[in-house]
Amino acid sequence: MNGIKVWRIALLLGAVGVAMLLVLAGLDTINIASAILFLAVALVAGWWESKRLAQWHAKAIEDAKNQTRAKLESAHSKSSMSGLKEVCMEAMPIWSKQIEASRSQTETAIMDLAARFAGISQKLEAAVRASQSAAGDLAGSGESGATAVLTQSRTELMGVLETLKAAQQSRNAMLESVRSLTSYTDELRTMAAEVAAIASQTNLLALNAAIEAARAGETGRGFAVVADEVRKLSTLSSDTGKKMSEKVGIINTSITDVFGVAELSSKNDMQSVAASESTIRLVLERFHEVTSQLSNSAELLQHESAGIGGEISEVLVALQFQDRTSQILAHVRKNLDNLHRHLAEKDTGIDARAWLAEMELTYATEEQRKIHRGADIGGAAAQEITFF
Amino acid sequence: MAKTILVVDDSASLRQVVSIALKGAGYEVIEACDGKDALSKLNGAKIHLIISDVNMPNMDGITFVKEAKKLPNYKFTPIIMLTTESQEGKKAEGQAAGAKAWVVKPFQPAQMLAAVSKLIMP
Repeated sequence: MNGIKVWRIALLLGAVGVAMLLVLAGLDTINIASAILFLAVALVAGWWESKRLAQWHAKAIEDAKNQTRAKLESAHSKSSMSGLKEVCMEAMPIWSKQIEASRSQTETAIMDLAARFAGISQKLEAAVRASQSAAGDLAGSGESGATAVLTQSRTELMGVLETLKAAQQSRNAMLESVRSLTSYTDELRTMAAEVAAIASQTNLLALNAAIEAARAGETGRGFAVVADEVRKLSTLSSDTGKKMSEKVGIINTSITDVFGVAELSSKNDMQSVAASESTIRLVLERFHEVTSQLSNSAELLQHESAGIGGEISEVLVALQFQDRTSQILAHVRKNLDNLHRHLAEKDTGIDARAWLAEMELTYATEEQRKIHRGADIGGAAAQEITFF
Repeated sequence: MAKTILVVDDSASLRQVVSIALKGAGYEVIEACDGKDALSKLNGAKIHLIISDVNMPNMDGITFVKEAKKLPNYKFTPIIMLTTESQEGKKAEGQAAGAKAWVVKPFQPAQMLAAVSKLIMP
Protein backbone atom coordinates (compact mmCIF):
# COMPACT_ATOMS: atom_id res chain seq x y z
CA MET A 1 0.00 0.00 0.00
CA ASN A 2 2.78 2.35 0.97
CA GLY A 3 4.48 1.75 -2.31
CA ILE A 4 1.51 2.86 -4.32
CA LYS A 5 1.17 5.95 -2.15
CA VAL A 6 4.76 6.85 -2.91
CA TRP A 7 4.10 6.43 -6.59
CA ARG A 8 1.16 8.85 -6.39
CA ILE A 9 3.13 11.39 -4.41
CA ALA A 10 5.99 11.23 -6.81
CA LEU A 11 3.74 11.49 -9.86
CA LEU A 12 1.83 14.35 -8.32
CA LEU A 13 5.04 16.20 -7.50
CA GLY A 14 6.28 15.56 -10.96
CA ALA A 15 3.11 16.73 -12.61
CA VAL A 16 2.99 19.86 -10.45
CA GLY A 17 6.55 20.61 -11.24
CA VAL A 18 6.01 20.20 -14.98
CA ALA A 19 2.87 22.29 -14.94
CA MET A 20 4.59 25.08 -13.04
CA LEU A 21 7.50 24.97 -15.43
CA LEU A 22 5.29 25.16 -18.49
CA VAL A 23 3.23 27.89 -17.02
CA LEU A 24 6.16 29.96 -15.92
CA ALA A 25 8.47 29.35 -18.83
CA GLY A 26 6.16 28.93 -21.75
CA LEU A 27 5.54 26.03 -24.11
CA ASP A 28 8.69 25.96 -26.19
CA THR A 29 10.74 22.84 -27.06
CA ILE A 30 13.36 23.15 -24.34
CA ASN A 31 10.78 23.62 -21.69
CA ILE A 32 8.75 20.65 -22.88
CA ALA A 33 11.92 18.58 -23.02
CA SER A 34 12.96 19.50 -19.50
CA ALA A 35 9.39 18.90 -18.35
CA ILE A 36 9.53 15.38 -19.77
CA LEU A 37 12.95 14.91 -18.12
CA PHE A 38 11.56 16.06 -14.78
CA LEU A 39 8.69 13.59 -15.04
CA ALA A 40 11.07 10.80 -15.94
CA VAL A 41 13.32 11.56 -12.95
CA ALA A 42 10.27 11.71 -10.70
CA LEU A 43 9.05 8.38 -12.04
CA VAL A 44 12.48 6.72 -11.54
CA ALA A 45 12.81 8.11 -8.01
CA GLY A 46 9.36 6.92 -7.18
CA TRP A 47 9.99 3.45 -8.60
CA TRP A 48 13.31 3.13 -6.73
CA GLU A 49 11.83 4.31 -3.45
CA SER A 50 8.88 1.96 -3.71
CA LYS A 51 11.17 -0.94 -4.41
CA ARG A 52 13.25 -0.14 -1.32
CA LEU A 53 10.16 0.05 0.74
CA ALA A 54 8.97 -3.28 -0.57
CA GLN A 55 12.32 -4.81 0.42
CA TRP A 56 12.10 -3.34 3.88
CA HIS A 57 8.61 -4.72 4.15
CA ALA A 58 9.68 -8.16 3.06
CA LYS A 59 12.54 -8.11 5.55
CA ALA A 60 10.20 -7.07 8.33
CA ILE A 61 7.90 -9.94 7.49
CA GLU A 62 10.83 -12.33 7.31
CA ASP A 63 12.12 -11.18 10.69
CA ALA A 64 8.72 -11.60 12.23
CA LYS A 65 8.54 -15.08 10.76
CA ASN A 66 11.98 -15.99 12.14
CA GLN A 67 11.17 -14.67 15.55
CA THR A 68 8.02 -16.70 15.67
CA ARG A 69 9.87 -19.77 14.47
CA ALA A 70 12.60 -19.29 17.08
CA LYS A 71 10.04 -18.87 19.78
CA LEU A 72 8.33 -22.04 18.66
CA GLU A 73 11.61 -23.90 18.50
CA SER A 74 12.71 -22.85 21.94
CA ALA A 75 9.38 -23.80 23.34
CA HIS A 76 9.72 -27.13 21.55
CA SER A 77 13.28 -27.64 22.73
CA LYS A 78 12.38 -26.73 26.26
CA SER A 79 9.99 -29.62 26.30
CA SER A 80 12.59 -32.01 24.75
CA MET A 81 15.22 -30.71 27.23
CA SER A 82 13.03 -31.79 30.07
CA GLY A 83 12.82 -35.25 28.48
CA LEU A 84 16.63 -35.26 28.30
CA LYS A 85 16.92 -34.43 31.97
CA GLU A 86 14.70 -37.34 32.87
CA VAL A 87 16.80 -39.70 30.77
CA CYS A 88 19.96 -38.45 32.50
CA MET A 89 18.50 -38.80 35.96
CA GLU A 90 17.51 -42.37 35.26
CA ALA A 91 20.40 -43.48 33.08
CA MET A 92 23.35 -41.91 34.93
CA PRO A 93 23.23 -44.11 38.00
CA ILE A 94 22.93 -47.13 35.70
CA TRP A 95 25.93 -45.99 33.65
CA SER A 96 27.85 -45.36 36.83
CA LYS A 97 27.16 -48.78 38.26
CA GLN A 98 27.99 -50.49 34.98
CA ILE A 99 31.30 -48.68 34.74
CA GLU A 100 32.10 -49.70 38.33
CA ALA A 101 31.08 -53.31 37.63
CA SER A 102 33.34 -53.60 34.61
CA ARG A 103 36.21 -51.87 36.45
CA SER A 104 36.03 -54.15 39.46
CA GLN A 105 35.54 -57.32 37.43
CA THR A 106 38.59 -56.51 35.33
CA GLU A 107 40.58 -55.77 38.49
CA THR A 108 39.65 -59.12 40.06
CA ALA A 109 40.44 -61.04 36.87
CA ILE A 110 43.80 -59.31 36.37
CA MET A 111 44.82 -59.94 39.97
CA ASP A 112 43.97 -63.62 39.63
CA LEU A 113 45.96 -63.76 36.40
CA ALA A 114 48.93 -62.03 38.00
CA ALA A 115 48.92 -64.43 40.95
CA ARG A 116 48.86 -67.48 38.69
CA PHE A 117 51.56 -65.98 36.54
CA ALA A 118 53.74 -65.38 39.59
CA GLY A 119 53.23 -69.04 40.57
CA ILE A 120 54.21 -70.31 37.14
CA SER A 121 57.24 -68.04 37.03
CA GLN A 122 58.44 -69.25 40.45
CA LYS A 123 58.03 -72.92 39.53
CA LEU A 124 59.88 -72.35 36.27
CA GLU A 125 62.73 -70.66 38.10
CA ALA A 126 62.93 -73.48 40.61
CA ALA A 127 62.97 -76.09 37.84
CA VAL A 128 65.70 -74.27 35.94
CA ARG A 129 67.74 -73.86 39.12
CA ALA A 130 67.39 -77.56 39.96
CA SER A 131 68.35 -78.65 36.47
CA GLN A 132 71.27 -76.24 36.44
CA SER A 133 72.59 -77.48 39.76
CA ALA A 134 72.21 -81.11 38.65
CA ALA A 135 73.95 -80.33 35.39
CA GLY A 136 76.51 -78.28 37.24
CA ASP A 137 77.20 -81.17 39.58
CA LEU A 138 77.47 -83.47 36.58
CA ALA A 139 79.73 -81.17 34.64
CA GLY A 140 81.76 -80.09 37.61
CA SER A 141 85.00 -81.51 38.93
CA GLY A 142 83.60 -82.20 42.38
CA GLU A 143 82.62 -85.53 43.90
CA SER A 144 79.41 -85.87 41.93
CA GLY A 145 80.93 -84.69 38.63
CA ALA A 146 80.45 -87.07 35.72
CA THR A 147 84.17 -87.55 35.17
CA ALA A 148 84.78 -88.28 38.84
CA VAL A 149 81.89 -90.78 38.95
CA LEU A 150 83.10 -92.46 35.76
CA THR A 151 86.65 -92.76 37.02
CA GLN A 152 85.53 -94.07 40.38
CA SER A 153 83.12 -96.55 38.79
CA ARG A 154 85.78 -97.79 36.43
CA THR A 155 88.25 -98.21 39.29
CA GLU A 156 85.77 -100.10 41.45
CA LEU A 157 84.57 -102.36 38.65
CA MET A 158 88.10 -103.09 37.51
CA GLY A 159 88.88 -103.88 41.14
CA VAL A 160 86.13 -106.50 41.14
CA LEU A 161 87.60 -108.01 37.97
CA GLU A 162 91.03 -108.06 39.53
CA THR A 163 89.66 -109.88 42.58
CA LEU A 164 88.13 -112.51 40.25
CA LYS A 165 91.37 -112.84 38.36
CA ALA A 166 93.34 -113.18 41.61
CA ALA A 167 90.94 -115.91 42.77
CA GLN A 168 91.49 -117.69 39.49
CA GLN A 169 95.23 -117.41 39.85
CA SER A 170 95.28 -118.83 43.36
CA ARG A 171 93.13 -121.73 42.15
CA ASN A 172 95.57 -122.35 39.31
CA ALA A 173 98.43 -122.27 41.79
CA MET A 174 96.61 -124.78 43.96
CA LEU A 175 96.06 -127.01 40.91
CA GLU A 176 99.75 -126.80 40.07
CA SER A 177 100.72 -127.93 43.56
CA VAL A 178 98.16 -130.75 43.25
CA ARG A 179 99.70 -131.71 39.94
CA SER A 180 103.15 -131.76 41.53
CA LEU A 181 101.80 -134.45 43.84
CA THR A 182 101.82 -136.80 40.82
CA SER A 183 105.61 -136.69 40.83
CA TYR A 184 105.45 -138.02 44.38
CA THR A 185 103.03 -140.75 43.36
CA ASP A 186 105.39 -141.78 40.56
CA GLU A 187 108.13 -142.12 43.14
CA LEU A 188 105.76 -144.17 45.27
CA ARG A 189 105.03 -146.42 42.30
CA THR A 190 108.74 -146.97 41.73
CA MET A 191 109.19 -147.70 45.41
CA ALA A 192 106.23 -150.15 45.28
CA ALA A 193 107.85 -151.91 42.33
CA GLU A 194 111.11 -152.10 44.29
CA VAL A 195 109.22 -153.56 47.24
CA ALA A 196 107.71 -156.20 44.92
CA ALA A 197 111.13 -156.97 43.53
CA ILE A 198 112.58 -157.24 47.04
CA ALA A 199 109.66 -159.48 48.04
CA SER A 200 110.19 -161.85 45.10
CA GLN A 201 113.94 -161.94 45.74
CA THR A 202 113.26 -162.69 49.38
CA ASN A 203 110.91 -165.43 48.28
CA LEU A 204 113.62 -167.00 46.14
CA LEU A 205 116.09 -166.74 48.98
CA ALA A 206 113.66 -168.39 51.35
CA LEU A 207 113.09 -171.14 48.79
CA ASN A 208 116.82 -171.69 48.48
CA ALA A 209 117.15 -171.65 52.29
CA ALA A 210 114.41 -174.30 52.54
CA ILE A 211 116.22 -176.51 49.98
CA GLU A 212 119.52 -176.14 51.86
CA ALA A 213 117.71 -176.88 55.15
CA ALA A 214 116.25 -180.10 53.68
CA ARG A 215 119.72 -181.10 52.48
CA ALA A 216 121.07 -180.56 56.06
CA GLY A 217 118.60 -183.17 57.39
CA GLU A 218 117.75 -183.07 61.06
CA THR A 219 120.10 -180.19 61.88
CA GLY A 220 118.47 -178.12 59.22
CA ARG A 221 114.90 -178.44 60.59
CA GLY A 222 115.14 -175.31 62.71
CA PHE A 223 116.51 -173.44 59.66
CA ALA A 224 113.68 -174.84 57.50
CA VAL A 225 111.11 -173.29 59.90
CA VAL A 226 112.90 -169.92 59.75
CA ALA A 227 113.05 -170.19 55.97
CA ASP A 228 109.33 -170.86 55.92
CA GLU A 229 108.60 -167.84 58.04
CA VAL A 230 110.75 -165.69 55.76
CA ARG A 231 108.75 -166.97 52.75
CA LYS A 232 105.51 -166.05 54.50
CA LEU A 233 106.92 -162.57 55.20
CA SER A 234 108.00 -162.09 51.62
CA THR A 235 104.54 -163.05 50.35
CA LEU A 236 103.06 -160.55 52.76
CA SER A 237 105.46 -157.88 51.50
CA SER A 238 104.57 -158.70 47.91
CA ASP A 239 100.86 -158.36 48.71
CA THR A 240 101.45 -155.10 50.53
CA GLY A 241 103.47 -153.86 47.61
CA LYS A 242 100.67 -154.74 45.18
CA LYS A 243 98.10 -152.99 47.40
CA MET A 244 100.38 -149.94 47.52
CA SER A 245 100.60 -149.92 43.73
CA GLU A 246 96.85 -150.18 43.43
CA LYS A 247 96.34 -147.29 45.87
CA VAL A 248 98.89 -145.16 44.06
CA GLY A 249 97.03 -145.88 40.81
CA ILE A 250 93.75 -144.79 42.35
CA ILE A 251 95.32 -141.57 43.72
CA ASN A 252 96.82 -140.76 40.34
CA THR A 253 93.49 -141.26 38.55
CA SER A 254 91.74 -139.05 41.11
CA ILE A 255 94.34 -136.35 40.70
CA THR A 256 93.98 -136.43 36.90
CA ASP A 257 90.19 -136.33 37.18
CA VAL A 258 90.20 -133.39 39.61
CA PHE A 259 92.68 -131.64 37.42
CA GLY A 260 90.51 -132.15 34.33
CA VAL A 261 87.42 -130.70 36.04
CA ALA A 262 89.37 -127.80 37.46
CA GLU A 263 90.83 -126.95 34.07
CA LEU A 264 87.37 -126.93 32.47
CA SER A 265 85.86 -124.66 35.12
CA SER A 266 88.92 -122.42 34.92
CA LYS A 267 88.35 -121.98 31.18
CA ASN A 268 84.68 -121.08 31.86
CA ASP A 269 85.74 -118.56 34.50
CA MET A 270 88.17 -116.86 32.16
CA GLN A 271 85.43 -116.52 29.55
CA SER A 272 83.06 -115.02 32.16
CA VAL A 273 85.70 -112.56 33.27
CA ALA A 274 86.35 -111.49 29.68
CA ALA A 275 82.60 -111.07 29.10
CA SER A 276 82.27 -109.08 32.35
CA GLU A 277 85.10 -106.81 31.31
CA SER A 278 83.45 -105.96 27.98
CA THR A 279 80.03 -105.49 29.66
CA ILE A 280 81.60 -103.11 32.15
CA ARG A 281 83.19 -101.13 29.37
CA LEU A 282 79.83 -100.92 27.53
CA VAL A 283 77.99 -99.80 30.68
CA LEU A 284 80.55 -97.08 31.38
CA GLU A 285 80.30 -95.84 27.80
CA ARG A 286 76.49 -95.64 27.97
CA PHE A 287 76.71 -93.82 31.30
CA HIS A 288 79.06 -91.31 29.71
CA GLU A 289 76.64 -90.80 26.81
CA VAL A 290 73.68 -90.26 29.14
CA THR A 291 75.52 -87.74 31.31
CA SER A 292 76.70 -85.74 28.33
CA GLN A 293 73.12 -85.68 26.93
CA LEU A 294 71.89 -84.47 30.33
CA SER A 295 74.55 -81.80 30.37
CA ASN A 296 73.53 -80.64 26.86
CA SER A 297 69.83 -80.41 27.69
CA ALA A 298 70.62 -78.48 30.88
CA GLU A 299 72.61 -75.99 28.80
CA LEU A 300 69.67 -75.65 26.40
CA LEU A 301 67.28 -75.06 29.31
CA GLN A 302 69.53 -72.36 30.69
CA HIS A 303 69.55 -70.65 27.30
CA GLU A 304 65.74 -70.70 27.10
CA SER A 305 65.31 -69.47 30.65
CA ALA A 306 67.41 -66.38 29.90
CA GLY A 307 64.96 -65.53 27.10
CA ILE A 308 62.01 -66.25 29.37
CA GLY A 309 63.30 -63.73 31.90
CA GLY A 310 62.73 -61.00 29.31
CA GLU A 311 59.17 -62.24 28.63
CA ILE A 312 58.39 -62.19 32.34
CA SER A 313 59.47 -58.54 32.52
CA GLU A 314 57.16 -57.60 29.64
CA VAL A 315 54.22 -59.37 31.27
CA LEU A 316 54.79 -57.44 34.51
CA VAL A 317 54.73 -54.16 32.56
CA ALA A 318 51.52 -55.15 30.74
CA LEU A 319 49.75 -56.13 33.97
CA GLN A 320 50.21 -52.57 35.28
CA PHE A 321 47.80 -51.12 32.75
CA GLN A 322 44.92 -52.40 34.81
CA ASP A 323 45.78 -49.72 37.37
CA ARG A 324 45.69 -46.93 34.77
CA THR A 325 42.39 -47.97 33.20
CA SER A 326 40.94 -48.42 36.66
CA GLN A 327 41.85 -44.83 37.59
CA ILE A 328 40.37 -43.43 34.37
CA LEU A 329 37.13 -45.38 34.86
CA ALA A 330 36.90 -44.32 38.50
CA HIS A 331 37.23 -40.66 37.48
CA VAL A 332 34.53 -41.01 34.81
CA ARG A 333 32.25 -42.58 37.36
CA LYS A 334 32.88 -39.85 39.92
CA ASN A 335 32.09 -37.24 37.31
CA LEU A 336 28.87 -38.98 36.31
CA ASP A 337 27.84 -39.19 39.95
CA ASN A 338 28.62 -35.48 40.46
CA LEU A 339 26.57 -34.52 37.42
CA HIS A 340 23.71 -36.69 38.58
CA ARG A 341 23.80 -35.10 42.01
CA HIS A 342 23.86 -31.63 40.49
CA LEU A 343 20.81 -32.39 38.35
CA ALA A 344 18.97 -33.91 41.30
CA GLU A 345 19.69 -31.18 43.84
CA LYS A 346 19.95 -27.96 41.83
CA ASP A 347 17.71 -27.20 38.92
CA THR A 348 19.92 -24.39 37.68
CA GLY A 349 21.89 -24.56 34.51
CA ILE A 350 25.48 -25.71 34.38
CA ASP A 351 28.41 -23.67 33.24
CA ALA A 352 30.01 -26.13 30.85
CA ARG A 353 33.37 -24.42 30.89
CA ALA A 354 33.57 -24.35 34.67
CA TRP A 355 32.51 -27.98 34.83
CA LEU A 356 35.17 -29.06 32.31
CA ALA A 357 37.82 -27.00 34.08
CA GLU A 358 37.01 -28.76 37.35
CA MET A 359 37.17 -32.13 35.57
CA GLU A 360 40.63 -31.30 34.32
CA LEU A 361 41.84 -30.69 37.87
CA THR A 362 40.97 -34.25 38.92
CA TYR A 363 43.07 -35.93 36.24
CA ALA A 364 46.04 -38.05 37.25
CA THR A 365 47.29 -39.40 33.92
CA GLU A 366 48.63 -37.87 30.72
CA GLU A 367 46.06 -39.78 28.63
CA GLN A 368 43.20 -38.10 30.49
CA ARG A 369 44.70 -34.66 29.85
CA LYS A 370 45.36 -35.41 26.19
CA ILE A 371 41.85 -36.73 25.64
CA HIS A 372 40.41 -33.66 27.40
CA ARG A 373 42.30 -31.35 25.05
CA GLY A 374 41.29 -33.43 22.06
CA ALA A 375 44.80 -34.56 21.23
CA ASP A 376 45.78 -38.07 20.19
CA ILE A 377 46.81 -40.37 22.98
CA GLY A 378 49.71 -41.71 20.93
CA GLY A 379 51.77 -44.72 21.95
CA ALA A 380 52.82 -45.68 25.48
CA ALA A 381 55.21 -43.21 27.04
CA ALA A 382 58.86 -44.16 27.40
CA GLN A 383 60.03 -45.17 30.86
CA GLU A 384 60.90 -42.29 33.10
CA ILE A 385 62.79 -42.56 36.34
CA THR A 386 63.93 -39.26 37.77
CA PHE A 387 66.43 -39.33 40.60
CA PHE A 388 66.42 -36.35 42.95
CA MET B 1 68.54 -61.41 56.13
CA ALA B 2 66.03 -60.25 53.57
CA LYS B 3 65.37 -56.51 53.39
CA THR B 4 61.83 -55.21 53.82
CA ILE B 5 60.11 -52.76 51.45
CA LEU B 6 56.80 -50.98 52.18
CA VAL B 7 54.56 -50.60 49.09
CA VAL B 8 51.80 -47.96 49.31
CA ASP B 9 49.11 -47.77 46.59
CA ASP B 10 45.32 -47.77 46.57
CA SER B 11 45.23 -50.16 43.60
CA ALA B 12 45.41 -53.77 44.77
CA SER B 13 46.43 -55.00 41.33
CA LEU B 14 49.37 -52.62 41.20
CA ARG B 15 50.55 -53.55 44.70
CA GLN B 16 50.46 -57.14 43.52
CA VAL B 17 52.63 -56.50 40.45
CA VAL B 18 55.20 -54.53 42.50
CA SER B 19 55.17 -57.35 45.07
CA ILE B 20 55.83 -59.98 42.41
CA ALA B 21 58.74 -58.00 41.01
CA LEU B 22 60.28 -57.33 44.45
CA LYS B 23 59.74 -60.80 45.91
CA GLY B 24 61.27 -62.30 42.76
CA ALA B 25 64.44 -60.39 43.62
CA GLY B 26 64.41 -61.67 47.21
CA TYR B 27 62.91 -58.73 49.15
CA GLU B 28 60.20 -58.97 51.82
CA VAL B 29 57.15 -56.83 51.04
CA ILE B 30 54.61 -55.07 53.30
CA GLU B 31 51.56 -53.52 51.57
CA ALA B 32 49.46 -50.49 52.53
CA CYS B 33 46.43 -49.05 50.71
CA ASP B 34 46.86 -45.34 51.48
CA GLY B 35 48.93 -42.82 53.46
CA LYS B 36 47.15 -43.41 56.77
CA ASP B 37 47.44 -47.19 56.50
CA ALA B 38 51.11 -46.83 55.60
CA LEU B 39 51.83 -44.67 58.66
CA SER B 40 50.24 -47.31 60.90
CA LYS B 41 52.47 -49.98 59.34
CA LEU B 42 55.55 -47.83 60.01
CA ASN B 43 55.28 -48.57 63.71
CA GLY B 44 56.16 -52.19 63.11
CA ALA B 45 59.15 -53.88 61.55
CA LYS B 46 62.29 -52.29 60.25
CA ILE B 47 61.71 -50.95 56.76
CA HIS B 48 64.60 -50.41 54.36
CA LEU B 49 62.77 -48.59 51.56
CA ILE B 50 59.31 -47.20 50.73
CA ILE B 51 57.59 -47.16 47.32
CA SER B 52 54.54 -44.91 47.29
CA ASP B 53 51.78 -43.80 44.89
CA VAL B 54 50.74 -40.12 44.79
CA ASN B 55 46.97 -40.10 44.20
CA MET B 56 45.33 -42.00 47.04
CA PRO B 57 42.25 -41.49 49.20
CA ASN B 58 42.47 -40.59 52.94
CA MET B 59 46.05 -39.35 52.64
CA ASP B 60 47.87 -38.73 49.40
CA GLY B 61 51.46 -39.72 48.70
CA ILE B 62 53.13 -36.32 49.06
CA THR B 63 51.53 -35.75 52.49
CA PHE B 64 52.50 -39.27 53.52
CA VAL B 65 56.14 -38.62 52.60
CA LYS B 66 56.16 -35.45 54.69
CA GLU B 67 54.59 -37.26 57.66
CA ALA B 68 56.96 -40.21 57.37
CA LYS B 69 60.00 -37.94 57.36
CA LYS B 70 58.84 -36.56 60.73
CA LEU B 71 59.10 -39.97 62.40
CA PRO B 72 62.56 -40.42 63.98
CA ASN B 73 62.98 -44.05 62.89
CA TYR B 74 62.15 -43.33 59.29
CA LYS B 75 63.74 -39.94 58.75
CA PHE B 76 66.42 -41.37 56.48
CA THR B 77 64.42 -44.14 54.85
CA PRO B 78 64.64 -43.66 51.06
CA ILE B 79 61.27 -43.16 49.34
CA ILE B 80 60.53 -43.80 45.66
CA MET B 81 57.34 -42.28 44.21
CA LEU B 82 55.54 -44.56 41.75
CA THR B 83 52.70 -42.76 39.98
CA THR B 84 50.89 -42.01 36.73
CA GLU B 85 51.69 -38.32 37.17
CA SER B 86 54.49 -37.02 34.97
CA GLN B 87 54.05 -33.24 35.30
CA GLU B 88 57.12 -31.32 36.41
CA GLY B 89 55.13 -29.45 39.06
CA LYS B 90 54.14 -32.65 40.82
CA LYS B 91 57.70 -33.97 40.56
CA ALA B 92 59.01 -30.81 42.22
CA GLU B 93 56.48 -31.31 45.03
CA GLY B 94 57.76 -34.83 45.54
CA GLN B 95 61.36 -33.70 45.62
CA ALA B 96 60.54 -30.94 48.10
CA ALA B 97 58.75 -33.43 50.36
CA GLY B 98 61.87 -35.58 50.49
CA ALA B 99 61.39 -38.37 47.93
CA LYS B 100 64.56 -39.78 46.38
CA ALA B 101 63.16 -40.81 42.99
CA TRP B 102 60.08 -40.43 40.77
CA VAL B 103 58.98 -43.37 38.62
CA VAL B 104 56.18 -42.96 36.07
CA LYS B 105 53.84 -45.94 35.71
CA PRO B 106 54.10 -48.46 34.17
CA PHE B 107 57.56 -49.36 35.48
CA GLN B 108 60.05 -51.75 33.89
CA PRO B 109 60.91 -54.39 36.50
CA ALA B 110 64.61 -54.31 35.66
CA GLN B 111 64.78 -50.52 36.01
CA MET B 112 62.78 -50.49 39.24
CA LEU B 113 64.97 -53.18 40.79
CA ALA B 114 68.09 -51.25 39.77
CA ALA B 115 66.74 -48.10 41.44
CA VAL B 116 65.77 -50.06 44.57
CA SER B 117 69.17 -51.66 44.94
CA LYS B 118 70.80 -48.27 44.37
CA LEU B 119 68.76 -46.46 47.03
CA ILE B 120 67.91 -49.12 49.62
CA MET B 121 69.31 -48.75 53.11
CA PRO B 122 72.21 -51.09 53.87
